[in-house]
Amino acid sequence: MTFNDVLMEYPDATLLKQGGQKAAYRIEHPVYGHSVLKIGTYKSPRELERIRREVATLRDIDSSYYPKNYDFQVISQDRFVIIEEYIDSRPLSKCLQEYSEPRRALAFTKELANGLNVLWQRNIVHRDVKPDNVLVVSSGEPKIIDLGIARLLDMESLTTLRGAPLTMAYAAPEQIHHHQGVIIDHRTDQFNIGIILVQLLLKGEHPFDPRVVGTGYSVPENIVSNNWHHSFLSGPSLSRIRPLATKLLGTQQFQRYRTPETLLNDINQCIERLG
Amino acid sequence: MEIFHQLGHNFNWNVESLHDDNAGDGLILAPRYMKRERVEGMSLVLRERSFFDPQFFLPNTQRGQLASYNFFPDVVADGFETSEYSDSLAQEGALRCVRFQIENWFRYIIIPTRHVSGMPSNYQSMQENMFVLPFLEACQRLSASQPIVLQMVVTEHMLKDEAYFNNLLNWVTGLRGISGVYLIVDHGGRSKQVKDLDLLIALLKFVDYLKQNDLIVILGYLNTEAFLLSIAHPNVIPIGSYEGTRIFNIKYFQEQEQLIIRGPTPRIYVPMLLQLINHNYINVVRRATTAQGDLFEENQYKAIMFKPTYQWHFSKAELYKDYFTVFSNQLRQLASYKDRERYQVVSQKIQDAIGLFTTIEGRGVVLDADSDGSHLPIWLTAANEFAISKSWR
Repeated sequence: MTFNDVLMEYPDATLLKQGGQKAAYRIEHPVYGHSVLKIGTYKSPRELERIRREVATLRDIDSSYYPKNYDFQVISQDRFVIIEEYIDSRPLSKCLQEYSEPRRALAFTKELANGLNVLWQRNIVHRDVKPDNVLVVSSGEPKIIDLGIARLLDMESLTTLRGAPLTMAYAAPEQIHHHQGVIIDHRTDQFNIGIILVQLLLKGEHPFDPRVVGTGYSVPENIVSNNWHHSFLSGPSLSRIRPLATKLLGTQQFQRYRTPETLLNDINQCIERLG
Repeated sequence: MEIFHQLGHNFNWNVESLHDDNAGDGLILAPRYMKRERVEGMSLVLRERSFFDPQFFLPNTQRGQLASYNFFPDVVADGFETSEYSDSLAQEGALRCVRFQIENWFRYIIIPTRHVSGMPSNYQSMQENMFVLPFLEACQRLSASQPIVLQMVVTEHMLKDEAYFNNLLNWVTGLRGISGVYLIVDHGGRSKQVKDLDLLIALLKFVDYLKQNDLIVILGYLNTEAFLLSIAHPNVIPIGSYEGTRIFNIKYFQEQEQLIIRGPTPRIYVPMLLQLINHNYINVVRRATTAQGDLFEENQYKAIMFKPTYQWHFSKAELYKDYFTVFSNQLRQLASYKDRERYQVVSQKIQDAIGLFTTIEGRGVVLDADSDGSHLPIWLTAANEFAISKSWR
């Protein structure tokens, strides 16, 4: 699939990322200035609807934690064009080690939770929070991207659990162990936050990685059996974070935080206790 | 921890006990037994201390006084059928019921539930569509200011099945807009005292998880196991007169006005034994435990009942008023203890009661199966198991 016809409008376009049937370019837009041009193809009406939903969500929330959407168009040959705010940033996955200091890790986690709370307050769950989907801007604050499988809780989901392209290494137990009656809500995102928090403290090591845990099980198996590396959270300062991490990583949703407010309150208390 | 009277047949005894004897803190009003005018005619002070249980357990059965409420599903729908209880009917019923609860200034607004048996796979969606969502919407529309509490009737199977237990908790703790749960356990009532160890442990944990989620927990329809369950720190514990208010049984909402099919044996509550014993045994138990002092707490009702000329009969008010007074005193003493301390007090009382039963038995007193202490080792084990899970032991 070629995107040359679209790119002709932006002679200064610089390729940022290309994969599969999609590509992202940095452009200088005559109206929006520095922007990101995303061009891609969709294979089904379902996929197109997913893209439309992401765009609609971004437009609706208008928050500094998310890139702004400027334009969305469906063009010929089953293709779509999105123009978004350009964010000068690095993905968190490339700079996890920089946040291993406990106060820094907590402050970042708090910002991440605040950002996700913007979605939760609208009854939306991100469902794919992972370091690749969190960008870090120069001030150190997070920007959350890829709301492609975000789910509005009171609507029939377009992305069924079985078909959802979630990332297994960051999936909550209820996303891995799906069965009838399973509930996906903001507490599902909390589990993802829990993994990121511990991963920051572990200088980038995944807390459910069998090499870190010391078992031969896979990451998803360790997630389902709540087998994570927590013994390092026993020192005088890190032990203060352990209850927070343990609650975020609760196997059952009722073991996590019922409300975003209690989660944010606990993070704040942890930060205060660390001084 | 507060104590609420679970109202039923002869509910005036409860009202008088609360008012005259200061036994308990509030009332759980029961439309099955109380006409709407009777509820609305209560003093505002009393209504503010109480809440109204809509008793929608069997939405198509207008037993007792339920027909006098224009929000009872069978009344709203003019003949309730699950498939026909459509959105508009459910919303209209919810709106009327919530308005009634708001206008009467009840302490909580209760979202009712229907009774189901076993472990239905559609429990959550059925309750949500029929009651939870319409009631939450009605509360929002009418700007309800009282805490909104969801009623749940759970079966012993639901609590004892780990996956179902988890799903139920995940569901209820994920409902936005509720502040608490009014929890009733349908355990079949095979014995007067709950002797199912797995059920008791599961129930203690269920209550504890709800509390850990900052939800108000109101327990309904409990016998003296309320004493044991206090270690999970529910906010409200019920006391009731006849068994129909102490053991949840759907039959009381199914059958014709025959609450008392056969006259129950009059029993008297002995706090040190944590048991209601057959009145015939009072004197032998007293003689067997002389060294331990009088097991029967003095009050104005004992003064009447312990006269030699007293004619024991299950329909006499003093039997129940004595129970309300004595049991609520015992529960109130526990309220001042928290967490591990409360567990220690409760477990010590259970051990003391086991010791007393041993003494009684040692004197050759053979109590009937509903008066003996056979439930106590099970209660103690449940308390200990729960304490281990809480790292109190």
